[in-house]
Amino acid sequence: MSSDDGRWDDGPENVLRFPGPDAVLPERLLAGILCGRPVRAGAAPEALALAELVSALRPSPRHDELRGEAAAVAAFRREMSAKGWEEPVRPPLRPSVSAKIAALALASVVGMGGVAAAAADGSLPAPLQAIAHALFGAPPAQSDGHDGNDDLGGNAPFPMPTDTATRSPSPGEPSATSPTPVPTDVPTPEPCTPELALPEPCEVVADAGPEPGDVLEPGPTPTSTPDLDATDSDGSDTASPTPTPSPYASPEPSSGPYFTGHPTGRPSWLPAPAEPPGRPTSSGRSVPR
Amino acid sequence: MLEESFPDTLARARSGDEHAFAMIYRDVQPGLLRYSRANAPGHGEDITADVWLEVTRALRRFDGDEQGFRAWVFTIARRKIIDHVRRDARRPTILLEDPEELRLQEARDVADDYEVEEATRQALTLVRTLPPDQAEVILLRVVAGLDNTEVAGLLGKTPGAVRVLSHRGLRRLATILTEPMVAGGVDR
Repeated sequence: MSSDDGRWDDGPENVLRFPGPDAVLPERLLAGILCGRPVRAGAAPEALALAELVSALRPSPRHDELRGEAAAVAAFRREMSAKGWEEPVRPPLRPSVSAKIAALALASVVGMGGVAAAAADGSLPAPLQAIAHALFGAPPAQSDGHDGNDDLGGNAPFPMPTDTATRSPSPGEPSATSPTPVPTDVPTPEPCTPELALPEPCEVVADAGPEPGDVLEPGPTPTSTPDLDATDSDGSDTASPTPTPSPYASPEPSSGPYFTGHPTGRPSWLPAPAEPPGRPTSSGRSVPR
Repeated sequence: MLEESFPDTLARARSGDEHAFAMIYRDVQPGLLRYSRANAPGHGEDITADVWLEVTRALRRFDGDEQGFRAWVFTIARRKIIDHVRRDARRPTILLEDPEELRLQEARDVADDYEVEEATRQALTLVRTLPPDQAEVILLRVVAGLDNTEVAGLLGKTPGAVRVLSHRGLRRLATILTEPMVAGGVDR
């Protein structure tokens, strides 16, 4: 039998003439030998010899085979100390850092946008508003109390538009938004402090024409209900997009060189009437007392 | 084989535990050394030292079970052996220029051979007589403890081809083993 050509187990004639390795060593037996399964004692000599050879090949640690352990452990130690072992946790940190940066950027955008919006609206505190005015032309800072909107912070450059019909207090009780809602308590206007006086908004207010609050004020020609009706029926005053001062949101007299009184107040040069011509109602009309 | 304790041992080794690394070394090194000696006689120690150096460098990047770890280590060893064989093929005359070095190398080879148990040495010698692909498959199956699929992945063959190669090699070994018995023994 030739074992050098590598094909002695392929032809059926070999099996017929000789016992043949296929018959002695079937694939199941070879697979078992490779996996280290024991071969029974009565097996073919080839199988027993092969099992012994494979068993000798299987690693059974001997001292001489492990003599390189000290060097390998030393290399392992050097590698540990050289690189450290914190690198595997680096990838999880990247999203965290990115999230922090994104959150910071978002907070900056929102914060700066809010400050910019407040500056454009004139709602910043006076020192900051002055800075914003100097930097990018935001509305200038207002002095406290001169615009009659202290309940809204007192810093708005213009009085807030209000609806007189919905904000009229009931007769005999003060308005919740105004410490001095009674028309008879006309505050005495005070001149603006020169350094805090800002004429522009005052001019706008002064030129705004008849105001809803005028119906509560003792004008030069008092007690004219038809005129008040005409003013209300016009609708342009109460529904106008132009900001108009609220008659009930004027706790202090305004200041300014061109605006000598609160829109709802009585001009200082006018004589004080003995009695107001009427009182506000929920419909915005004056009701004679 | 560490089997159930392998995941924990590997995790401790990856975190820098020298004792855990030594346990893995003791489990893998004997087969690795025999595989290296069978494929590069006289250079088994150097090759395994290079393999473990690379393992320590890349251990933290490894993620897998024990069989996967063994396949990874033997893949490194196989690449080192191929590099060694190519390097030796490029400079065959260097040793002849230094006869003293050649004698020292031969002495080391003999010492290595005698340090290996006699049965193992004879078995490795017999396996070396096989065609290279059959010998490598049998060594990876038996010495490295890998299955057909892992050996196939390592060698770039199909599991069926690996099975055929291993069975052919075993049959040839059986023939070699039985012929000397008929002829009166072998002197290896």
